This record gives sequence, C-alpha cells and structure tokens, in this order.
Amino acid sequence: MDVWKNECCGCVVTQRLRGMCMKRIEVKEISYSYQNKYQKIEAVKKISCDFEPGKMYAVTGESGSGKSTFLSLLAGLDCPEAGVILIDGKDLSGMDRDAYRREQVSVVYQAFHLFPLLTALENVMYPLELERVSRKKAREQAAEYLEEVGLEEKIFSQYPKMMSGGEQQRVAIARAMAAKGRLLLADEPTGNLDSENEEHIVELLKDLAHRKDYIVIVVTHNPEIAGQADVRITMKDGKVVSVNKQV
Amino acid sequence: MTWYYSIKQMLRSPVKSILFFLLAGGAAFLLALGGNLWEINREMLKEFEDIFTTVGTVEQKREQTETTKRWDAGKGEYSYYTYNKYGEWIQNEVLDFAGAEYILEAKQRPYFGALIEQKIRGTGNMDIMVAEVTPTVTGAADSSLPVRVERVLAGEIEEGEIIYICDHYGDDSGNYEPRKFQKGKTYIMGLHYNGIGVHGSRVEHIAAEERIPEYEPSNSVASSQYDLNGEKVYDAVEEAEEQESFDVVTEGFYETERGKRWLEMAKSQEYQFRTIPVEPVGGTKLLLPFYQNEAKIYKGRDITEAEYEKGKKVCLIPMELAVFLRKEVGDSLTLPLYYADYAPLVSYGYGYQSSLLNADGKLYPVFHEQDYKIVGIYKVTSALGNGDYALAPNEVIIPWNALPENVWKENIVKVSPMLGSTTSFQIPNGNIDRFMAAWEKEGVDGLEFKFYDNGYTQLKSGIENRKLMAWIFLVSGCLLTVMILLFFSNLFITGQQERIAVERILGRTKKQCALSILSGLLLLAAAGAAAGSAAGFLATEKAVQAAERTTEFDTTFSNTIIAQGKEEETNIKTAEQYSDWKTPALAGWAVLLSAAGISGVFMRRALKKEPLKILGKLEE
Repeated sequence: MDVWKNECCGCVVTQRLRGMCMKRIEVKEISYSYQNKYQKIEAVKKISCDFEPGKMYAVTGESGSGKSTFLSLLAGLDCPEAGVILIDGKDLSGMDRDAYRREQVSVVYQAFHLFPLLTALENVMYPLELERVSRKKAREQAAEYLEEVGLEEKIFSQYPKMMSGGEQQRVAIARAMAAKGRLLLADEPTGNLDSENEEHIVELLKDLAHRKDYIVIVVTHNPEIAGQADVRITMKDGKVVSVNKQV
Repeated sequence: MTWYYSIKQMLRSPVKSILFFLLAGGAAFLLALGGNLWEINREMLKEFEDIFTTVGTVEQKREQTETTKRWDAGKGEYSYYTYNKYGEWIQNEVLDFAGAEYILEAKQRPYFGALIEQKIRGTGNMDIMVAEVTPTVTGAADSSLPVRVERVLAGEIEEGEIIYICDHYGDDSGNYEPRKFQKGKTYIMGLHYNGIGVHGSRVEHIAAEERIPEYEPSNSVASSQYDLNGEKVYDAVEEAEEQESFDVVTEGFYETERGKRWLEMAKSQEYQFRTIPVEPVGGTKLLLPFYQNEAKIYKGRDITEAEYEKGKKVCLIPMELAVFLRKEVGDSLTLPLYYADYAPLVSYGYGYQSSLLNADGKLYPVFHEQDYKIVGIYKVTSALGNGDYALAPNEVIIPWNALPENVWKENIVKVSPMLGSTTSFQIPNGNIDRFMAAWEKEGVDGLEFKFYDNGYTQLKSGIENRKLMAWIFLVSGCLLTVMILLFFSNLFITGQQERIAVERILGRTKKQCALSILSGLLLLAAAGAAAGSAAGFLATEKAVQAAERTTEFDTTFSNTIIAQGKEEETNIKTAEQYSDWKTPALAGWAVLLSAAGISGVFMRRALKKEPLKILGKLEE
C-alpha cells in the first residue's frame, strides 16, 4: 500500500485518506443505543458538539452517563444510529473506519493496555509497523517517541510488568503518538497514577494539543484534570448538559 | 509483521506454548494410532472377506440303533451287527429357511454317470460278472461248490473254467437255507468275487497258497429306480423275485422277461466299465477337498462364479482322466449322462452296487448330453484326498446350472438322506452364529451342521478386539483434541481479549487481528500435529508387531489352507503390510483443521465484542 505525507500537518496517511488532515470534528445530534441481556440502553441521545485541533477537551460525567460510548463513536468503532459525525465535513459512517482509526485516531487508557509480551520499544514500534514502516526505521522512530515522553533508554527493553504505572502510561502515549492519529482519545488516562505522574501525563497531553496540534479528548472523573482542559463537556444520561470553554 | 509479532509473543510464554504443542501432539498421536489401527484392521477384514469363505455341510443324524444278524456260511453260524439307523429322511427343502442368507444355497447333490468310449475303472465294479454255469456236483452252496463256466455274458472270466461258489452271507430272516444246485443244469447268475477264502470239505485238499478264488452268486435282476421324492418306482420283477431261487437256462429262456433282464444286466456291466462320475456343484469351494486344499487346479483355472451362475458348459477334470483321455485345457469333453445317484460316491469305494436297470427292466437311457469345455485340470494331493468327503476317481466337476433342473428325474438309481459329502452350502463369513440361530427357530431336529471357515472366526475375533482398542484410541484422541483446543482457544483467544481490543483500536482489521492471534496458535498446532502423527505412525507399527505375535498361528494356518486352486502358497498380508502414512497424515490434518475451526469460532466471538467496551470492562 502506498503511503503519503500530508503537506498541512505532516501526517502519514493512506491513499484513501490522502490530503485529509483533520481540521474539525463536527458531531451533529448523534444517538446510539445497545441491547444488553435485559434491556435496550440508550447510551447517547442527540449529542452535538465540535472539536478542533490544538485544544484539549475534557468529557466528564457520572458512570453510565455515556462518556465511553461517545468516545467509541468518535473513535469510529461504532456508527451512530441517528445523526452524523463529520470529519472535516465528511460523514464518518461513509468512510473506511478501519483506516480512519489506524491513521487518524489514537487512544490512551487508564489501564494502559500495552502488549504485555512486547517490550516498551516493541509496543511503540507496533503501530509504525502496521503502517508498513520498515523495522529499522520503526525502531529509530519508536525510540524518538519514547524519549519525547521522557523515558530513559534503559526502559526501552523492559516489559510492561517491569515498569511503573507512570512509565507504562508514557509508553502508551508514545504508542499513541506513533500511531500518528491527530485525534487522541484518552479514557481516564491518569486513573491508576499517583499525583506526580498524573501531572506529568496531563502536561504531556496538553503539550500534544497545544504544541503538536492534536485534538485531545480526555474522558475523566477527575475535576482537576477537567479543569486543565480548554473545553469541558459535561454529560448526563446520554446527553451533553454543558460545554464550557475555559481560559 | 503479523507473523513476527504473533510468534514473538507466543515464544515469550514458553510454558503455555510447549504445553499446547505437547498436548496437540498427544492428541494427534492418539488419533493417528487409533485411526491407523482402525484402518489396518478394516482393510484386513475387507481382504479376509475376499480370501476366506465359510462353507457348511449338512448331515442327517443316525438316531436309531438296530441289531441285525447274518448267516456266515464260512463260519457256519450267525454274525450279529449293531448299527445306527436313520429315522425318517429329512427333505432338502427344510434348508430353505428365513435368515439362512446363503451365498450358495444348500442342495443335496446327486452325481451322474457319464458314458465314455474307453473302458475305464470309473464307477464300474469289475469284480461282478454275469455267466451261465453248470455245477460239477449236486449240492448246497453252503460251502464252496465247484461249477464250470459255460458262457460268459459279462466280466473277466474264462469259459470252461472251474470256479467255486458259496452263498457265503445269508439274510437276517433267521431261517436261511443255502440254495441247492443240481449237477447238469445250467444256471445264470451274477458272480461277485468274494476274495481268496475258500472253505469246506470239497476244497480242503487244495493248498491255501494256490489261492482258489470264491464267488458269491446272486440272482437279482430287479430295478432300484427311485423318483425325485425318494419313493421307489414299482417293479413287478422285484416284487416276484423273492420266489425266484435261481434262474435255470432252458430253451427260450432269453425270450422271457427275466431272460431279457439278464441280457440287459450283462450289458450294464459293460456300461459300468465305461462310466465316469460327474458331479454338478454350485461352486468348487463347496467340495471340501478343494476347500481344504486337498485338491488343486494345476493346469488351467477354476470355474468362475459367473460360469457357475450362468451354467456355462465348462468342466474340471482330474489329471488321471486327462491323461487317460488325452485331453488338455481348452479341449471339449462330451458327457452323455444316463443316471443320477444321490448316495455318496466315495463310500462305495470304487464299486457300483446299484442296478442300472430301470423299472421297465431296461438300461437307463441317456437323459442329457452336451459338450463341456475343459477349463481346468485338478490334482488330488497325497492321502488327504481320501475319506468320506473325498473326490471319486475320475470325477468330473460341472456347474449345477449347466443342465436343466431335475432333468434326471427319470434316471435316479439310488437315494440317500442328506450327508455332509453330498449336501453343502456357503454363507457370508462370520455368519455362523446367525445362521444357527435362524435354524434353531425352525425347530427341525435331526440334522447336524458342520462349518469350515479356515480360521476366519478366530482371526475376525482377534481383529475385532484390535478394532475395539483402535476405537478407544480414536475416541480418546477425538475427545482430547476437542478438550485441548477448547481450553487453549479459551486461553489464547478469549484470554487475550485485551490484546485483540488494543490491536483493533490501533487500526487492525478483524481479519488482521484474527491472523495475528491465530497464526502462532495454528503454527504450534501444526507442529504438534505433525510430530504426533509421525509418532502415532511409528507406534502403530510397534503395536501391530505385538498384536501379530499373538495371531501368528491363525494366519499360518490360514496361509496353508487358503491357496485354493493355486500351486503356490497364498500369503495373507500381515497387519504391518497394511500400515501406511495416509491415515496418520489425515489424523494430523484433522487436528490442524479442528484447531482452525475451533479457534476460528472463538476468534469470531472475540471479534464481535466492541473493543472500547472490552477495555472499559477490563478497567472496571
């Protein structure tokens, strides 16, 4: 498969997404429900909001408010039953969502979700190799990302179990960066970290938004993290109840 | 890249991987061993079905004991004999019963007399003569009575010769009186050579070493004709014969009814010297000397099943007859059949003891005549050809269907109850118990069955045991395969939901995810299956070697017996010779395909789950 570098942002994309450098995500009245064992759950109800590069967004709300489902719709893992998600004006449901996820979206989790049997370096190399970057180049680039998130070289060959929580989350962010998606979705990224590491990770995410022009969307319960976001979106019972821009 | 990371991760959990490899290998081993053993035994049984045949004989039991006495003129006293007697004769039709499942149905066979041009010691008794004699003295034939042979009508005796006659054995009426003969009268009689054993005052002066032969005179010109139901055909001459002590030859005697019969009797002696026995059968194997390899085709071939079924005009002849008649395979032999005899030919020895005159006092006419192509010449080996079941000298074998059913019904010279040597059949191998169970239901007593299967039942029993063992291996292998695959699929796939979800979120397609997870698993399964099936193949050879040692006797016995119609010994293949790599290879493939199938199902289920939800749940 041929790969291309977008002139606007330097994103490496496939031919299908060539020229597509994410500038805006418009969410228009999307709804989504799913069936569990007992009943139909309306997880997201007519949500509308916009996301722009260079900003960090915090999505807050109680458990069951629909935050994670919203995140999965933004990640292209599901399609809304009603409404549309427009990526630079194009309907996400009409796009190749596997390619969209691979090339435009990165996700960071509370539990890190690194591959336990791969080293830190291999974890970061993985998305690069998925993009058919040669193994040698992937190794070099992965090392650069790891250094960028502040990890020392001795960590590179360690397996996740051998690392601290903060180190693991940094590896996860480095892997997200390596995935080259300009939309970074973070689901409770500091939930398992101590306050010192939490601060470092939030700084790292803000840095990605402000310095590297990512759209960073953080789902969190933590009011302190939510307070550091540029925009705070509050959800309740599947609906957006407030959107606050913060200085 | 997919393979690289998949295998890398597999190798980084070596205990799980090695355990899976070993268990997959174990399952493949059991499948290969069980499958191969099963296939070997199945092949062996199949081949045995072609090689072995099961033949049965039927004989009516002698149920009554009777004592009889005979006057012995030599000893001048009665001799007493006790013998077993048949009850009411059981008809052949009872053998046509439900559940018999014959391959060749049970028939009571007659043998036929066929005339040939040359004089041969076939069915004929050359010790019987017909002659006119004149006693040189008047006296009773209670000891050797000298008579002069006046005219020989049949037999090897010189006219003018003085011979001695004696009513050596009387009947069992208890008031027997030796018949009296008068000097100067001419009597016609049948003369049965009685061996060297003259006795009485008239011959006491003759030294024993001069070996004077003695003849037993007979006066019967009765017919012994029967119909198909075993009933005697009425013969007025026979009925009146009890009154006839002896026929005296006077002027015009040969114009009388009895005179004419004596002339026919003389002619019948000539017939007997030119008669060979012809046995119609449904299959060569129904004749026990062939079945038991006491008789073999040494030139040409056997009559085929199709030839038997279609009643082709083909025959097998013995080597001695071929030499005598100067016949070769491919030559034609004309067989004018003129009588049928249901009594066993061999029990008479070489002699023929029934009358060849029908109830009209005439020699039996030829009832069927056609040319038969000689397809094989057989040889009876060593002394094994003797006994009640043996083939008669010069016996020709033809297909039962070669002549119309019961075309001989007007030419039956003797009947007999069913005997093992004349009544046989073929049933499917391994069917003896079922046959007997079906027969028991008929509730007919008085028949005895004997079965011959060349050891098939013992062999089959051994093979069935091995099949059971194979079945156990096979089932264990199948269960183990399924259990291992379920367990490891759960471990490698369901247990790796996090990895699948992360890979999906990183942008891998479902297909790539499946390949990533399954490639390592299937590679290990393939390696295990290959190693296991190879080990199973080798173990099969060891197992059959051990099993062969226990059945060596069976096959050795069968090898010797089975070579029907062949000069060389037939070798039944040993179990090892049936073993091949195909079944173990199939077992290996089965394990691999099962692995692909089961892990594929697990994978599909795992991929159905939404990755973010999986990760969310894991975080909870």
